[in-house]
Amino acid sequence: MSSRKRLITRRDFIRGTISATLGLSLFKPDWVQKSIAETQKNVGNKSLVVLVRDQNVLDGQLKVNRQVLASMVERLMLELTGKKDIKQAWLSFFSPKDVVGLVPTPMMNPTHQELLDLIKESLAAAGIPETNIRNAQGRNVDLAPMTALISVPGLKAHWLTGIGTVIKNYILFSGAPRNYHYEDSAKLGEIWHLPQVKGKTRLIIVDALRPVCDKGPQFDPRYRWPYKGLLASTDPVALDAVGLKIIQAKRDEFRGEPWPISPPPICIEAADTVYKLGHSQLADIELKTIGWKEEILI
Amino acid sequence: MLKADSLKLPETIDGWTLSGPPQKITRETIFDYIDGGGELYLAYKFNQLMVWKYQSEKDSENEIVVEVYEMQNPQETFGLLSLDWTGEPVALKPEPETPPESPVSPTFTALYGDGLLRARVDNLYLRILASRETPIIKETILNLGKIIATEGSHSTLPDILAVLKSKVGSSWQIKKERTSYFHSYLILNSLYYLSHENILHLGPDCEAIYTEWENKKTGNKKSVRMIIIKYPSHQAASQALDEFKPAYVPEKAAAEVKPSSPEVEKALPLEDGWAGWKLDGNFLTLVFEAPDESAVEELFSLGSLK
Repeated sequence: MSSRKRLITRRDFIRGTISATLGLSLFKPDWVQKSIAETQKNVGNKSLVVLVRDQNVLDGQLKVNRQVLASMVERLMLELTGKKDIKQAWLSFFSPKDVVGLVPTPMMNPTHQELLDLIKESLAAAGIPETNIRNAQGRNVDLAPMTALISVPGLKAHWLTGIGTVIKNYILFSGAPRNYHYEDSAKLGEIWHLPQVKGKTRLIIVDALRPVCDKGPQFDPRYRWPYKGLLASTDPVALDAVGLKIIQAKRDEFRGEPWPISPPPICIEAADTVYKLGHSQLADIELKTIGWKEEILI
Repeated sequence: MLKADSLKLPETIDGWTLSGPPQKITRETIFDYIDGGGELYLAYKFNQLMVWKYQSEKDSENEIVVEVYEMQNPQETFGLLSLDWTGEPVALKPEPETPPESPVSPTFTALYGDGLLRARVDNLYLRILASRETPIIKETILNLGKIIATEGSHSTLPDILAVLKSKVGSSWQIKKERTSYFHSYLILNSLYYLSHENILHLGPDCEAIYTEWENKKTGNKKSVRMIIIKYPSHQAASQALDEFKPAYVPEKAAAEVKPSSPEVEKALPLEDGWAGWKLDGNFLTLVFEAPDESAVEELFSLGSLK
């Protein structure tokens, strides 16, 4: 038995031994270990996550009200940075010399184009040249010229990885997405340590206007609901942990009984305890909620 | 068996027009079409997929996508539909064609919700989705489903469902809407997570059912979980049990003093309730989250050959 690979099972989650099991079962190549050692210094004591909601951001036809969305983005940025105006808020993350890549979710619950357009316009208004704001999603995108990334995923569950929002949003950067499904979804955090990716993510904005609480793999409109929210943080793991909590609460409400996400999203725990990308425990996260409180689910 | 690429859909229907010839997706290209999702269909013995797209003559932004997945046999399409029995049951064919009720599983052939129709027509699995739903668009979606359903014969259920019993006098009642049919551990994990690895040796040559039970007498709403697997042989079932025990209950496997005569039926307490296994010929039945040992034993009698 001692020579057997340590398997992750349901019992690890019930016993609370998942961190230990992940630590024993995940192989970390040298380049990952070196990168982790550097990253670890940057993880602070508590992570700030801001949630802004507005019930008027979607109309009865679920079309986006751009004006309301713009005001939500502004609130998000001001609360996250503590700055007094939106320009200063953007410039606390980026300089006009940066080449900024936006990384939206392409499938299942794609990021609203209106949100991407607003971010681009707001960045440009802050002084980042429009030619320096680029799409960075996809297998064939050259990340080398990009000095900074903004991840803009849609909030959604995923049938192979449990949750498919922040940590998973960079899966195409690996060049081999299928290597990060099933049991290997625990390794999704490794992608954030790739040389062309590491340290570039300065900001994450999660599109939670209409999240999807079922896992797919294909879109089922019955499981998408108008949450009308945006989330932001600099900590990818904290954002996934908060997003997971919202999705799980919606699933339970949907069925009127516990309806756990299955398989459990081991990528969040591993991103924290193994890859040191941020905080997965809600006790280590400061959540600021702004605006509409009805059915906030967290 | 029906061939998806032999289907003829109308050029126009209810003010919608085909935007071009259908797209054909094969086993080789399924991952290009559903990145991260091809595994689902491959796990149900996928042959090919045909995709038609209709554009609205009145609303250029609205689209109806008709996907017809061709699987190797009708059990597979039952399995795909059984992954989610929720939605509004709809009849795509006249009543006499609807299969008789089953005591252990819904027998719906078509389910609708919010602009998505999911249906099984023999070995064809349909997903017809509108980007925006109205009552009129719903009618069009159902009309498209009915056109394809005319190709089908009578619906059948997988034989393995006969293993499940709903006994008169038993305090245990099956939750029919939780009964699912599958072959792959990826599907099992999406229904009830055991391990990220294939510790039960599931695969295309196995047939499996997942279901849940609740106790009518105690009124305890907590479900007891059951997995029944039919392996191609007793040896394969026995090997799977031998793999499962050290992976899932290593403390029990380490304590077994006579590995040459392993226990073929066992109930034991775990962190989330009583669990158990029963090996019977080429069938392996597993129970999880039962309230006590006697519940495991009773449930074995409701999910076995005898």
